Amino acid sequence: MQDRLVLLGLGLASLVLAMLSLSVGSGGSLVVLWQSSELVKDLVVDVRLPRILGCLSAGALLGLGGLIAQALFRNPLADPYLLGTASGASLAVTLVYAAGLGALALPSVAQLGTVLAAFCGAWLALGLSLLLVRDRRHGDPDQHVTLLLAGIIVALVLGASSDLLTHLRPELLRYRLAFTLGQTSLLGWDAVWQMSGGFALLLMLSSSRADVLDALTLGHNTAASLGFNMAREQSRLVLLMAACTAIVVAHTGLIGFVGLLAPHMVRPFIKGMHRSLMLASALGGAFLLSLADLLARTLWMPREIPTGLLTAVIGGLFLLVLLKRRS
Amino acid sequence: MINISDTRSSTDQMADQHISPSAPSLSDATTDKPTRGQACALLLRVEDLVLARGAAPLRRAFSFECHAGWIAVIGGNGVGKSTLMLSLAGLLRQASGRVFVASSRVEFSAMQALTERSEKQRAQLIAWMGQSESISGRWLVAHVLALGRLPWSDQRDLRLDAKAAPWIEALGLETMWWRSVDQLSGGERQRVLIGRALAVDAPVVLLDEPSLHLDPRYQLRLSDWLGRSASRKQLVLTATHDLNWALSADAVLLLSNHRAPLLASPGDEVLHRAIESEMGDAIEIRKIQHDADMHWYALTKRTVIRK
Repeated sequence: MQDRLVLLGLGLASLVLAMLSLSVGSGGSLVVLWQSSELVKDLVVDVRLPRILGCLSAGALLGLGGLIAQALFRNPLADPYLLGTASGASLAVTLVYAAGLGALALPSVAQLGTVLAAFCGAWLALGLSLLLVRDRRHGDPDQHVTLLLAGIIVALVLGASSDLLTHLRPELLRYRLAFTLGQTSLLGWDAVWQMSGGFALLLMLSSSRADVLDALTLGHNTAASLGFNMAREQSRLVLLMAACTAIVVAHTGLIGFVGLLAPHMVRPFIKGMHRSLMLASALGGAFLLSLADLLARTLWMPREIPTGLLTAVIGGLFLLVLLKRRS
Repeated sequence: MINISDTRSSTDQMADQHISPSAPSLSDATTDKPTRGQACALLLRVEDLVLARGAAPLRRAFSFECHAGWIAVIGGNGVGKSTLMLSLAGLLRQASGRVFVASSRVEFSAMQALTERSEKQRAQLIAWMGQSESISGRWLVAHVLALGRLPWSDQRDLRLDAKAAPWIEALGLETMWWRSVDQLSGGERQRVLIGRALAVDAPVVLLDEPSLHLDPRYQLRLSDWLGRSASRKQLVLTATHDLNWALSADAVLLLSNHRAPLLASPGDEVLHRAIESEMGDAIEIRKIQHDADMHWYALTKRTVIRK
């Protein structure tokens, strides 16, 4: 009962925030725009609306991925960018620009190319991490620790490769910076459909694994003793987590802290276990990213700050407050 | 082969366990057919189990069979008590051997070993609680207990009803229901974890060091509960270092690095000598009469000397 109220509250808060976000911006407030129907069409429908909806879906995906990561690795500091997905995406995007695709005449083609590349990069990095632990015995309770380490190694190696590439071709720095800082300003309707569709699918799949995450709170062995094939469940959860990240990273670049923070933000209010937490964490992520986006657009109007920078600042402060309150 | 048969009459619950045959050690082979315990409700049969953690096996393969009741598994550090628990629960892939759970001896002939069954079926037959388990997160006690219902995925909710599940009362959980596990003391958390394993309602329950962190009152309550396992047609194996607590069990399984495993009644003289030598003669087992019942106590030698 209480959980439903919290979920409803979170949903409403995100909605209110979205409405507010829709009505302010460097092009003028909604009241001013409403006088010219063309401006409403151009600015609100084609620019602001997809951006806001995109932020909501991206935030929801990051929140969901963060919750899965924290439950799977039994670590409150786990983050959906673990296992090298972010570095893989980053390297792929750098490669795309290095190949000269970024200078293509048609920006929409170039954008699609980067999205695809980021997506593939994230998955390849994940594959590499999984390959490193593949030879380990199945059912090894320490397997997830090894996987975590493999992810860190993959992230380091891929990150260094991107750095090397940038060092050789300094003109790539600009693109890479935009990617690393995380942008929500380029989100269009394509991105909205892909991310919201992806979110609906992944939420459904994750909900069916909520029992596994619940069981994992008592450790790997207990979860196995409760009738789960943990080797299989672990791979499924890793794939779900990586899918959440890959879709978002492909469209927005690296937006940190949302996945880490969203689960912590909602946990004190939710009584249930992972089934309710998944939805709550997703809504929390949607709220957080929308808030960051609104601030990114309006704080220095008409200039924009990369959203990833703001999430890092807000997220860092928020985490500090949480830590303080806990101790 | 040793088998513990549950031939106790309902009137003398605590006294006098019948162990048969009288051979004191588990045989390494399973050639001779067990002769007694035919009408028992539950049977656990372990065939050619090799305890191994990592690559090296701890000892030769051994087999045993037991009926409903409470068996305390004892032995020094590193003899493989936890490994035995993990192997029986099917949580160690490198362990070899076959484990069967059946409701009667007849069933064995057409029986699949647990390793050949699905994870869900195995989980419904054997509940396992690890040693010093941790709970990550701040969940309510009710939620943690309900995790025990996961093998029966259709009934996740646990009724707050001490009559429906008597262990709730035995473990004193009825007042803790809506507390958060991160606010519990070590002993309280241990009771919740034991309750979680009992919530599975499996015929075989494996508890690794359940008496750890418990105050004497709850140790007694727990052993009272475990002592009634046979009447519930449940087999509970508990690994423990608390020898006095172990000696109140229906039977004791002594594991050792030097000799074959020994399964005997707690009153067995041979078992007493084996325990004493296994513990480097640091203890002495004494018989004490208490309310017309015999009890055996392991006294550390220091206590004995001072006396």
